[in-house]
Parts: sequence; C-alpha cells; structure tokens
Amino acid sequence: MEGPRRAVDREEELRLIQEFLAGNEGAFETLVKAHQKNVYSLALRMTRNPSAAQDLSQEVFVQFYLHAREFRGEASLKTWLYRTTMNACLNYLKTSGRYKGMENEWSMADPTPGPLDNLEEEERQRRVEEAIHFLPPQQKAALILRVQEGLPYEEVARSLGCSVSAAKAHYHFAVQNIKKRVGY
Amino acid sequence: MTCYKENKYLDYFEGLLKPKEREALEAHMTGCAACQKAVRQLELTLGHVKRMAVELPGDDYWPLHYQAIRRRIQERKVVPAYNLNFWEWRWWWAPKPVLAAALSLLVIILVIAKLAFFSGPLSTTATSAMTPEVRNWGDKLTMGELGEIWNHSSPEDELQAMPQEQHERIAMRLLQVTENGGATPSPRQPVVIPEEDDDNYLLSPPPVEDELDRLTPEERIWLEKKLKELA
Repeated sequence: MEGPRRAVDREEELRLIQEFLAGNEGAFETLVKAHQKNVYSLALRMTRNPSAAQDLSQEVFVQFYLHAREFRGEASLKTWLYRTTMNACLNYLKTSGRYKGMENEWSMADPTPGPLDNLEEEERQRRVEEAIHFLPPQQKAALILRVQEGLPYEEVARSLGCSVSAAKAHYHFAVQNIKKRVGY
Repeated sequence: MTCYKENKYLDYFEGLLKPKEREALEAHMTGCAACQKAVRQLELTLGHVKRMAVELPGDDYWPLHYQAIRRRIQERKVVPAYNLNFWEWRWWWAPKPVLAAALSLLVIILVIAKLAFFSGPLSTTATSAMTPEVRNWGDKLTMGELGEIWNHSSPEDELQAMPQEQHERIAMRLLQVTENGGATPSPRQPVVIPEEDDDNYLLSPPPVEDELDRLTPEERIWLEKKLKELA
C-alpha cells in the first residue's frame, strides 16, 4: 500500500501547490504544516543549534512562498524543501565560521584513546555524535539524509544539488571519517 | 587491513551489491575475521548514527512556528509566487487544457507554413524531347547544382540569380542527361554515351521523361530559350 499512498500524496501536494499559485493562501498553510517538522529537524541536525534551526526553517518556507512557481513537480516537494534547507544550513555553517572552527578541531583532535568496541553504549553514542559534529558540511549532509532520513542516493543527490556519484562519495567519506575518529 | 575497499562493505551492509557480488563477499567472510570485523564496525557505527536523537519542540510550538513564518512574509513584504509579471510566468504551471490548446495551435501553424511555403514543384507531364544544339563543353555540372535545378521551387528568381556561366553549365548538363537517356553522370567526370550492348555501362538510365518531368513548365521554357541562344 506504500506505493499507491505515496502517489496520492504527491498528487495532493501538486494540487495544493497549484491552488497556492492560484492565490489560495490556505493551501500554503496546509503545505507548511505538512513539512515544517521535517525541515526543522533537518536544520537542527545540521546546525545542532535550536534557534538557528528555527530561523533557517522559517526562512525556507518564506523562500517557498516567493519561489513556489520554480517548483516543477519532477521531484517531491520534500526534496525541494530539503535542498533549500541544505543550502541555507551550508551557508549558515560557512558564514558563522563554525565550519572553519570545526575543521581546525578535526585536524588537531586526538583520535580517541581506544576503539568503540570496548566502550559502554552511551560513550559510544557520544563519540559517534561528536564525530558527526566535526564532519565537513557536505559529508554531514549526505550522512544525515542517507542514514537518518533514509533517502535513496538519487534523493540525496537532488537535495545536495550534486550528482549521484558525488553524493555517494560524500556519504562514503563521512562514514570513513567517523570510523577514523572513533578509532577503527 | 581489509581485503576489499571500504565502499564494498558499506554497499554490502546497505544491500546494494549485485547478488553474485554479495554471495562472493559472504563466502569470503565466512573464513575472514578481518572482513567480518569491518562489517560489524560499520553496523555499530551506522546504528549509532541512526540513533542520534534531536529534541523536537512540543506540539504547541508548531502553530507559533507558522505564525512566525507569516510575520516574516508580512514584515519583508514578500511578493507571493502567484503574483506574477509576464517575465516570471512559468509554462509548467499553466493549466493542462491551455497547454494542450497552445501546442495544437503551434502544430497547425507549422503544418500550414510547411504546405504554403515549402512545397516542392508540382509534377508535370512529359514534354517533347529537345534537340541537342551545343556539345563538348569543358565544365561539368556538379550533382549539387543539378539538385538545385531539379528541386527548386522558384525557378525564375533562382535561375536569374545565378551567374551566366552557371546557366550555361546547367543547360549543358540537361543536354547530356537527355542525350544519355536520362542517366546523370558522376560529378566531374566526362559523359559517356554508351554504345549499344556496352557491358561496361553499369548504370540503368532512368527514362528521359522522368528527368524532364522534374522540370516545371517555367524551367522548360527557360531551357529552350537558353538552348536557342547557345546554338
């Protein structure tokens, strides 16, 4: 039932966008309410900062209000919103200087006293989350979209605005870097 | 040190390997502790990545989130996507019946234009054979030039635009064609008028009438005039 249900959702989505483009503000509200949690969640995972995530996720929907006519319906609206969210988060990380800070910490940090196997579950979780925090933005984005959002490579590529092979490469490097950081 | 590249274990873990590759890796892993460890580490790592929690706000937050979006739109006087000027219109959002009607109209216009302006010369009835008046010209007409005279649709304009030498070459070529029983010689080669029963004559010449049929009445009148002048 997953296939037909998704098809109905897509049709409903396109109908709502069409209505919004015809001047129906209520359709815009319905679309925002359907996607705002996902967009906020993605922004929070990327920035690890709740107020930045609120700001960025609201801005994403303002952009949609302005540029909805650019959405062609070839991919889902979720992918379009994720792409806009990713662009906003990557800009935020660059302009806030957080990524530069992370780059330095990444290269200077002691790559853990021991492998993950020997640690308690909570400590393992903390190590992995710390490793993700220090990933370069594109790798972090690919990892989050692939593992946490469960998107196929094609959707990851569309959300990142890159090719499928580039998306795979980002993801693979992300996993390798995490393993290196935690001591594998 | 592992036996395969890291990507292979990742693809295996995610179920992206082809069946034969997967079977080969599994068969290898039954006897390789290093590869088993690599896959187990991946499993652990990705499991922790999946379990990385983010604390979402409670349900009472989300109406406020939407209101904040509306406030931004109002404060910044954002123009909604449906307020378009001409240059911002996007065809993919046009209603489908309108798109279908526009495409149909375009097709009709193109068909009418093709019929009205690009139709070839009408076929003509056979005409009487012309008598050859001029022979042994040095220049021979190329196939391109011959194609021009056979196929053009506005003989008077195009013929008058050609230089005099080309008129004469065209006339000569047409003579050769009629003498040769309608066969068009190869470019830049002298015409060979075959003897009867000549085994070397490989081409089966088309009938003269076919070649002459391609000329419009205006072309035939022009050609006869030309031949008389050249005589």
